[in-house]
Amino acid sequence: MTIGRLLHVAARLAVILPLVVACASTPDRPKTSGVVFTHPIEKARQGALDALVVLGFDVKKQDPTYIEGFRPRKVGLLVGSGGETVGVWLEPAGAEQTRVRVDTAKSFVGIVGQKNWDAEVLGQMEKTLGKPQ
Amino acid sequence: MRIVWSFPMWRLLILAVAFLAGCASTQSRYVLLGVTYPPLPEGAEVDIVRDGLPDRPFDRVSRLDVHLERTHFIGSDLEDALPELRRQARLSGAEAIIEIQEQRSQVGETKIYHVTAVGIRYR
Repeated sequence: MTIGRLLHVAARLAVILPLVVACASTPDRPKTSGVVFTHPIEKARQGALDALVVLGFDVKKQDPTYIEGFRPRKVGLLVGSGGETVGVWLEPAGAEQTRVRVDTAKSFVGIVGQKNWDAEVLGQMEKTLGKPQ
Repeated sequence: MRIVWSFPMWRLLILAVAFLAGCASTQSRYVLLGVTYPPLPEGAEVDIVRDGLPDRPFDRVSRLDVHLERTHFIGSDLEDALPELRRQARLSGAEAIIEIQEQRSQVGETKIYHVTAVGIRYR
């Protein structure tokens, strides 16, 4: 195969790949009990939004009890990154308490460079909201 | 062995642009903290207070976030983030930036740099 042929294949991939990687997975609401922060839901919601921004997620959905973010994909030399979708579920657990559940969905394409962000999201929320119960 | 260069130049260009465009990202935002001010004009001076707080009285106007990610093991620092940090400050009506907090991490060959700061307005 000539170098020209190799570059031809690479150019086709460069066109096709963005179409394929546009597909993203959807997070599933965890069946676990999650963690409880001693803050009303509005404050916990702001903490979740801040956490996603700090971790590099583009916030795609902002419902009163659900936030979803997507990490933009980056092309690497060997392994890229990004492509994960994180869902954060918020549920009042009392007047001043909010139960938080987090799930990361990895997409099929580029899964090697993707990671689970559940702990990082909760860790960032802890920085603004304090330790959960 | 003879190398055949039959590949048109414009295809190489598309390939290079697609590769470079996909290896870095910049995300930014501001969140107003209470009192609102009109945005400052583009190019307006924004002070960077790296240590401590200004001597003059001020109001906290906005929380500022700039997030940079680059692959190929190339890192970013505050100097890379400052233009976008200043832009977000101007949009939020802030005249200066204080309480700069930096965070660095890495995922594979992607280096992640995040800076959070507070935009202020002098009284």
